[in-house]
Amino acid sequence: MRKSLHDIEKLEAYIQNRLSPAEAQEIRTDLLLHPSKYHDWLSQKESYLLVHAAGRKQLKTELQAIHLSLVQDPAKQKWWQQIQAFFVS
Amino acid sequence: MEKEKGTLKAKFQQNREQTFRSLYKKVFPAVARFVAKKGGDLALAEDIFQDAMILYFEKVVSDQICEPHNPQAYILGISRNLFFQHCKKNKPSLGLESLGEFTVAPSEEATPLPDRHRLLDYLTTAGKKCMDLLQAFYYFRSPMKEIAKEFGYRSERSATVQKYKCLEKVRETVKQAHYAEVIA
Repeated sequence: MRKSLHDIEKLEAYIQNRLSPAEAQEIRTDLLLHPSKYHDWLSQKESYLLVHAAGRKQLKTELQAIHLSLVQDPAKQKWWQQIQAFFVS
Repeated sequence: MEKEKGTLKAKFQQNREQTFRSLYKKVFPAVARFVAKKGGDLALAEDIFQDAMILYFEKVVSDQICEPHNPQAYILGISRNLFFQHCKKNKPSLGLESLGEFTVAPSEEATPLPDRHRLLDYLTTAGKKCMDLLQAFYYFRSPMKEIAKEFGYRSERSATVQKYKCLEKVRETVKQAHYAEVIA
């Protein structure tokens, strides 16, 4: 694995609190001394948030599809009618 | 359901759709009844239940739920909280951002970051394969062995290297978007 990927791996370990106190301190010093590394750190953290958001979006789509398939399933009509009945005032 | 303790995470990883489908059939009626009793409508019940399932899934796959637990009670509990949050905020729609853990704490944002939704749309189209791989690992928590098989890599090591390459690509896109915003 090339060095830049090793750096990403190490930054990931830092972000996930998997480094020893000494290693973490080394990274913190690096981030303070090198603006480019600080931006790497910031962008990497943002990348995880984006992946997380994409995962949630995908899961929501999957759940909506499951909902649709259940309400359209003739075998689940009784189940669906029971649910709809809760909302009839 | 309680007898399935310890295996729910594996079930989610092995057959997510089937596991969700089974939970949907069992738990949605209770959530719908709760929302109806509180004066909410069916669309709100669906939205709340699906968001509760997302939070539940995240907790199960990241080992944040102590075993044994009762999935029905857990999901119903999350749904109640989401419903009360919704009432408090009086929002017409929940939106996935309201589930939390999506925003960066202000102290962590030394400089404003690019529009996350726009960036997300871009990444899920232009860099779909990479995003799928990253999601499989970081969000769905699939074992690397499964990921390697699913994405056609010869070994777990190859898949791991590709994961970091993808992360590098996404990170560069984030940086470029940030830079474009700063100079705009």
